[in-house]
Amino acid sequence: MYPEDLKYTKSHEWVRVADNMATVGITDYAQEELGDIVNIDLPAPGGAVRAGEPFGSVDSVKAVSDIVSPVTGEVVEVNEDLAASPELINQEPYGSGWMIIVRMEDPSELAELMTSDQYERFVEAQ
Amino acid sequence: MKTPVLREIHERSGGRFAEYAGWMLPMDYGSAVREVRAVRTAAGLFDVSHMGRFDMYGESSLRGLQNLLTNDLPRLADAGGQYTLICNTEGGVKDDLIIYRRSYDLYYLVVNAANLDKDKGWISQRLPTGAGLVDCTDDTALFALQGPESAAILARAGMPEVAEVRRFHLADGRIAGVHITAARTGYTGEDGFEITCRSRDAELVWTTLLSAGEPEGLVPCGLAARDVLRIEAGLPLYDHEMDEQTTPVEAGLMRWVKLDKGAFIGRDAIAARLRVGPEKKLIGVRMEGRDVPRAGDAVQSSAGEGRVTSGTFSPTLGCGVAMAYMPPEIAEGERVQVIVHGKPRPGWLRKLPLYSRGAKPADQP
Repeated sequence: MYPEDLKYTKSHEWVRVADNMATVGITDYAQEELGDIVNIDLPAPGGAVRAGEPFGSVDSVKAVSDIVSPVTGEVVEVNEDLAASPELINQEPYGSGWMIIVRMEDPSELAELMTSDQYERFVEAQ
Repeated sequence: MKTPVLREIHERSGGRFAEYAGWMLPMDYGSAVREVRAVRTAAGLFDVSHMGRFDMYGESSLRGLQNLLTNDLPRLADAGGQYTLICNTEGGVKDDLIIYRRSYDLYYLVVNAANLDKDKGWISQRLPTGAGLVDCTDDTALFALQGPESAAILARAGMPEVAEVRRFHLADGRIAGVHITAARTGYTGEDGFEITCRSRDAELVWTTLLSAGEPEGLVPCGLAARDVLRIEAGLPLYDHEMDEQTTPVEAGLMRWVKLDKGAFIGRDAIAARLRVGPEKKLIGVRMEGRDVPRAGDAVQSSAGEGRVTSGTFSPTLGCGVAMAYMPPEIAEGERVQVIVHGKPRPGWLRKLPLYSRGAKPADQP
């Protein structure tokens, strides 16, 4: 039920890798748990992100949650559509709801992340 | 942890539960934003059975209640209701509630769930001879039918006479063959009814209302939508905008405090506070963008710092909104910075409420 071409974190982010570029978003499980996402705070292109550290936040109606970067590197692109339409994260968490693209410094960090099967088992245990 | 009588029904409707005031209650049924829109444009149905409900009876009820409550009870005729406060001797707010007069010796009170036991103790200890208090919370259910289509839905459910019921008045009637009491009030800023029925009729009343309202767009709504709606409408919530250390002068609730009605608990302290002036002032905040202020966030203004008491994203206005306590000399219209999730974000101080029924979006403050 979770896309097999993605890697996953325990804090419910996903990453899609092409060469040394990593696209990051939050999982379908995360958006479902949060409910309606009404606001998002993302870094500007050029900013640095570190694996395991928050790089932004999403607001649901009831609470604000940090989004944690799965990888270390430089933000090369930010999904500008989310500022006006954060509900895209609810509607298409793996598609138009993507958040940032990171140029990875150390692709070996990806080995720490979960496969779709592992993430599915992780979620079932929640 | 207490659970509502209709827990299974709510789960089947997709209700997602969280803890509030010692209860596990439906927060939303999938989308709080959709529920807010339904209430503003059609109607929503809330199970608010966790709220405390008391009957006060006996010849001395009026005398006892006049001493305990800030509003002036003799203004009510039978079937009339009013918003009122219970204050402590220092003038701090112990609770806010709605009281209805059923007859000269019978009153119906709806109080906050979180304050039920506190209120019961405070009132019981101060009852005059010839008055009694009955907690009827467990024996009854309370549903809020809110939104512009509410009266039409209740009519279709079998109670057309509600069209004639005035705001803050109640009427007894029947739907689906069982007795209900419908009071024309609510906590959303829309027209609507708060409907009391017996616990054993709760499922029948809930499902009857939902099916009667389906063609009008009625949806079940959770506490998250209820919180958004009341913040948009500038309605205070206990422990956010008021508490035992805050008097009605600060909370902007003096409309419901009748200092000239005679002695009541808290009167002297409130009158004294009114003479010296409030220490802080409750005001609305409208954010420039979608940033969502949360309770406790700092608000920086020219007159000094204040604090958000309640905040949310307003689907109706399309921006972040809040209520905040600010220094009393502050003026509406001022641009402020709210420290949202650690970052300063721009907003404006605005008169409450931020949303008024009937006003066009462009005319909202």
